[in-house]
Amino acid sequence: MTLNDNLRIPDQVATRQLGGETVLLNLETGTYFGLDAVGSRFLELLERDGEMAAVHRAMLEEFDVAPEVLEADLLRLSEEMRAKGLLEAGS
Amino acid sequence: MRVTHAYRICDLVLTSNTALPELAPAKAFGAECRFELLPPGNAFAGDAEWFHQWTIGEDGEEEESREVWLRFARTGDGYLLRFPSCGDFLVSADAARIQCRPLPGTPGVTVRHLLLDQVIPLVLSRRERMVLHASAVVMGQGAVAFAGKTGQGKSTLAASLAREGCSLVSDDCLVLRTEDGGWKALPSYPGVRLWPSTAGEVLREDTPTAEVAHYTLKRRVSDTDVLPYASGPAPLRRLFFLGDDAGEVSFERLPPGRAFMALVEFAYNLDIQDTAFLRRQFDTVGRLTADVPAYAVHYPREFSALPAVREAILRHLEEDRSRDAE
Repeated sequence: MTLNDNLRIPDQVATRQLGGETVLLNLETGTYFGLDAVGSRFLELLERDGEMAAVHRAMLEEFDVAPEVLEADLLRLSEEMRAKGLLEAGS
Repeated sequence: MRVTHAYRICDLVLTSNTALPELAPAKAFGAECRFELLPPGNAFAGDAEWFHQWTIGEDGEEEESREVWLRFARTGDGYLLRFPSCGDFLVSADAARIQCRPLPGTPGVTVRHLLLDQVIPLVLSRRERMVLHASAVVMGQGAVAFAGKTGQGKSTLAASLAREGCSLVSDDCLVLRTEDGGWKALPSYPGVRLWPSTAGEVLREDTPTAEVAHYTLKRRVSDTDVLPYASGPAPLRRLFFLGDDAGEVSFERLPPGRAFMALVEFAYNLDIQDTAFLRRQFDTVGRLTADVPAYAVHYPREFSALPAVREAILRHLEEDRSRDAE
């Protein structure tokens, strides 16, 4: 996976925001997943933009973080969420 | 089936062809669920699609080596709950009928325990109740719940608080419903299940107790003069998740995400593959997380520390009420 990928939340995944955090449920597997405030912002931007590169750019403006560190963190989180069926390739 | 008895458990009116002395009688009119005890016999031999199981074993033990306690299957017209060493319970798809076929030699007291403390919570979840694996008592102006894994001290804490005058709401199956914009904790049925040593320490030595099931030494304490029982639903004020065995009592406010995950872990669900139900439960747990503050409570697991734990919980609730009032 790279920043050139597009990702989306699959239809079978339910999400809910709770006080700045987000919980997700893959209804097909029964897998629950929690995101803290930063992870929630990532998901919010991903839902808006779809493109990982756009999310990366937006978060670089919002957070005091080195580009390569943010890229590694976003790719690691995306991989983990994809493996759990909580994200899928978008168009 | 000839119905001979009617009882109330939580807000469910249950008719039964056998006596269930642990429950309070009710009028059969308006019964929502029927229980039928069948003669002992062999395990259900019809088609069954097995989809889930509960196991018991040591923490960290490999799943393969753990003992299967309960297996879940779909049948043509409902669900089969199999306790491999005790018998089968068949639950209709609408959760309005329960039948039990015990294995030969399974005592009646064990059947009743499995029905009341294992099967009914699952049936209630199927009937769209929010059911938590938690004890609860009424303290002051509302109910507080204590959720935790088996053996973490839910019953001991609830019995200790009830011994000091709090009204018992549930031992380990807490049913919640929304009412007037808030959450109400519904009394389940009187009594707690305690190890004999716990009953001796927390209650009087001469407290009458009864057998729970043939496979456990735990004893049932049902005397409402010893442990007062809540007279009706009470507003739920706090959710406490039993935490570590610590040197002193402390409370840790759980962020919403952690509270949500903890609630999901302790919520009963008969069919974990029913996606429509999972979505509804997801929304319900989300609302509960948003409405009711959740804390982890860490405390010493020693009988001598229980008075201090009780005091700390009361103080914590009082301080919270003061904060809310400001």
